[in-house]
Amino acid sequence: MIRVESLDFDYGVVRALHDVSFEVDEGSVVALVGPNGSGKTTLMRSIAGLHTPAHGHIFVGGVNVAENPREVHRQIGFLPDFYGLYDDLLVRHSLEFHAGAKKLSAEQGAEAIDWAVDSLGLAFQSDQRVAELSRGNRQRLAIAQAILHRPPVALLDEPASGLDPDARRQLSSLIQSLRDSGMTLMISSHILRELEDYATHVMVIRDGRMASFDAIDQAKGDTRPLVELELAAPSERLAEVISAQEGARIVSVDDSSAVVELPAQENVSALLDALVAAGLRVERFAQRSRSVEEVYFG
Amino acid sequence: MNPELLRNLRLEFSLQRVIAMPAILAVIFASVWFVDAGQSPATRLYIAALIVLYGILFLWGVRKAAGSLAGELANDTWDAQRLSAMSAGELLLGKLLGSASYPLYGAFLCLAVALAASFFDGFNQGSIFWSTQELRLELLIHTMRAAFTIVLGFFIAAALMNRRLGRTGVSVTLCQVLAVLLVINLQEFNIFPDQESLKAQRDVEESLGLLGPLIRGDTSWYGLVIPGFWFRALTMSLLLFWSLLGARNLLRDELQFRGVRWTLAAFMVFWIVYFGGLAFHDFAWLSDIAESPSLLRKLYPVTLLAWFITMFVSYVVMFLAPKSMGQVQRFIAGVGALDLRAAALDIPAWLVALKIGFLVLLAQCLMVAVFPPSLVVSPSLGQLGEGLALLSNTPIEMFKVMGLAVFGNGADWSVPLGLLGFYGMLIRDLSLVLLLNLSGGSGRADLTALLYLMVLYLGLPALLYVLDLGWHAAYLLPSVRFGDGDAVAVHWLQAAALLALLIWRWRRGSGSAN
Repeated sequence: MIRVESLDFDYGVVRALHDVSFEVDEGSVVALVGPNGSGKTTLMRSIAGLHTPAHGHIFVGGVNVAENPREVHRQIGFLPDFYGLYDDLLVRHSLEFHAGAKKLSAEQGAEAIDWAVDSLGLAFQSDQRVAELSRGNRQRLAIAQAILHRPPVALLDEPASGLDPDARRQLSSLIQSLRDSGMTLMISSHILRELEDYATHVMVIRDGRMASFDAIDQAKGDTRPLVELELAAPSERLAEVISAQEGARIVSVDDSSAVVELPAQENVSALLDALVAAGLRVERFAQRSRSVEEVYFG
Repeated sequence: MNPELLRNLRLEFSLQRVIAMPAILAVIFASVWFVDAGQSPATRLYIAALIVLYGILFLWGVRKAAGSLAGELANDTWDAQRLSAMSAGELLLGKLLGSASYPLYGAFLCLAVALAASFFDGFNQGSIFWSTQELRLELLIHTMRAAFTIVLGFFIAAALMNRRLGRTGVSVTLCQVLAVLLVINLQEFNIFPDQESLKAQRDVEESLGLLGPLIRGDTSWYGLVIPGFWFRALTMSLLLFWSLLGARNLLRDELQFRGVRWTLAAFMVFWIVYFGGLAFHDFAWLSDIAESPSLLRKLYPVTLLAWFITMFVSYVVMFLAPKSMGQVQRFIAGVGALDLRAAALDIPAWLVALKIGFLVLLAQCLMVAVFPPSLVVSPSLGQLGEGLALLSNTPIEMFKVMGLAVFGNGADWSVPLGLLGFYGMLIRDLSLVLLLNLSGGSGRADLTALLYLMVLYLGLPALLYVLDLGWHAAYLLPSVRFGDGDAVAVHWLQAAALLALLIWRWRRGSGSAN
C-alpha cells in the first residue's frame, strides 16, 4: 500500500532523510518510532505529499506521490503533530467543513460525521465550540477530522501525545477497529509502548536513517531473558555482582533493585546463584517477557 | 456550497452583526446629509459613501483577506486545507469572499448609497468636469479597484505563505500596507466632483504634461484610440485578473498541483505588450525614432521598456519566490535526462525571469543590428524636466525617467552593451541571493542579501564619489553612461565570481547532505 524507494530529503543543505526504503502492506499498522528530530515527521509529510523530496520515489496505493500528489491526498488521512483546529467553530460545523472539503456528499458527510462522533466519543460535544474542548477532546476531534473520509491510508503523527489514559485506551480501540476495517496505518511516537498493542510492524528511525523495520511478532520473538530483581536490604555491591556475570546487560539498577538482560536461559539461575553467593538477600527474582520498546531501545 | 466560504460565513456573520453594519453606516450617512458643508447633500453623500467604502476595505477588508492565510499558518490548520479535495480556485474564492465577507457587506451598502445619491436632486450640480453618468460609471472602477486591493493583499500574503514567512500580525499589516500603497499609487483619487481642487490639480498635471491622456482623455494604444474610462476599466479588470490568477497559482503550489509554470512568463509578456502599446505612441523622448516611418524602429522603445519590466519583475521574483534546493535539483535532473516536461514542472520562477530577460536582450541586439546608425538616444536637456514625472502615477513616465538615467548618452551598440552589463549584474545579484539562501533560513537570507545589495549599489558608489574616485562607480552600477566595454567586463567578472562561489557552496552542501 505504501512503497518508499531510496528517499532523501533535504532542508537546505541539511539532509533530514537518508536513503530510506521500505514497503508497507495493506492493513498493516506501522509504529514509526525514533527520538525527536530523527525524521519521523519529515517521512510522514513526504508520504502525505506535503513535502517534495530531493531524490527517491514514494507510491501510495500504486500512485507516485511526486507525479500525482493530489490523488494521494485523496487516499490519505493525515494528523499532523501540531494538529490544528478552528477554535471559533462548533464541533459539528468543524466536522461539516472537513466533510465538505473532502468532497463528501451531504448524505455521506452526515453519515461520516455520525460515525466519527460515535467512534471518538464526541457525541456530547458536537454543539460545543472547539475552543471549549478539553485537550483530550481536541485531540479526538483532530483525529476525527483526519479520518472522516475513511481513507485507505492514515498517517497519524504522535496521536497519543497529551491524552489521558482513558483517551489512550479509546484511541487504541479506534485504531484496532480501523485496522480491522482494512485501513493501513502509520503511527508515529517516541514512546513505542503506546503502540505495542495494535502495531503489526515497528520501524525505527535514527538520524534520518531507517535503523530497522520488522514485523512486531518478530520483535517480540526475541528470546533473551529479562530478569527483574529486588533486594530485601539495599547493597552498593548489586551492580558490581551483576556486571561480573558473563553477557549480562543492566537495563536499570539502583542499590535495591535491577532489571537485567541475560544472553540465555541458563544464565538466569547462574545470576541468582551469584547474588546469593555474594551474600545479598534477594526478596524478589522474576523473569518476564521483553516489551517491544526494550527490544529496540533497551 | 464552497465549504471554505461556508466556514468563513459562519464565523463572520451573526444576526447582531448583520444589523450592526447598516445601523452604523446609517448614522454616518445621516450625519453627512444633515451637516452643511458647501456642496449639495446628495454630492456629500456620494463622496462620503466612497470614502467609507475605501476606509472599510483598505483598513479592514484587505487585512481580513491577508489574515485568512496567516491565520491558517498560525493555527496549524493549513495542512488540512492542503490535503483537502478543494481546488485552488475554490479555496481562493472561499477565502477571499469568505474572510472579507463582512467588510464586503459594508462596502456593498456604501456602493448602493453612492449610486442612490447620484439619483437625488442637486447631485453633481454645476460640475464642469464630470457628468452624472460618468460618476455613476466611475462606481464600477471603484468597485474593481477595491476588489483588486483585496486580491493584491491576499496575493502578497500567499507569496509570503509560500515562503512560510507570513504567520504573524506584523506580516498581515505588511501585506495590507503594500497592497494599499500600490493601489493608491496606481491611480489618482480625485474623482470626486470637488470642482475647485480638481481644476487646480488638472492645471498642474496638464502643465507638466503628465497623466493627461491616461487618466481622463482618450488613450492611444499601439495607435488604437480607446476612451479613457474604458481603458481604465479594462486596465483595472486586467489587474484584477492577473492578481486573481497569481493568487490562485500560489495556492495551487501550496496544494501541490503539478503543472507547467507558464503564468510568470505570460505575465511578463503581457505587461511588455501592454506598456509597449503606451510607449509605442509616447516616444517623444526618442525623437529620432518618432520621426521614422518604420514600424520596427517604432518598436525600439518597446524593447527598452521590455527590459525594464523584465528587470523589475526579475528582482521582485528573486526576493519573493521560494528558493528550494530540491526544486533546483529536480529541474537539473529533468534537464539532464532531456525530460523537458519534467524540467518545466520544476523550473524556478527566477530562472523564468532570467530567460525572458535574455530574450529581451537578444531582441535589443537584433534591433541595433538591423538599424545600426540611426538608433541614437539623444534626449534634450529640456526632457530631463520629465524627472518630475517620478511624481506621476503612471508607470510609463517612470520608465521614461529610468531610461534617461541609464541610457542618457548611449548610442548604437552601447545600449545593448549596457544591457549586457546589467544582465551580468542581475546574475551576480541572483547568485548572491541563492548563495545566502543555501546557507540559512530563507527570510533572513533574503534580508541579508538585500542589505549586501544596498551596500553594493548605494554604499560603495557613494564612498567612491566621496573619495573622488567616482569614475570607478561604473564598475558597480549597471550603466552605459561611462560607457565602454571595461565596465561590462567587470560586471561579468563579478557575476562569474559569485556564480562560481554559488556552485562551490552548492556542491559542498550536496556533499555534506550525502
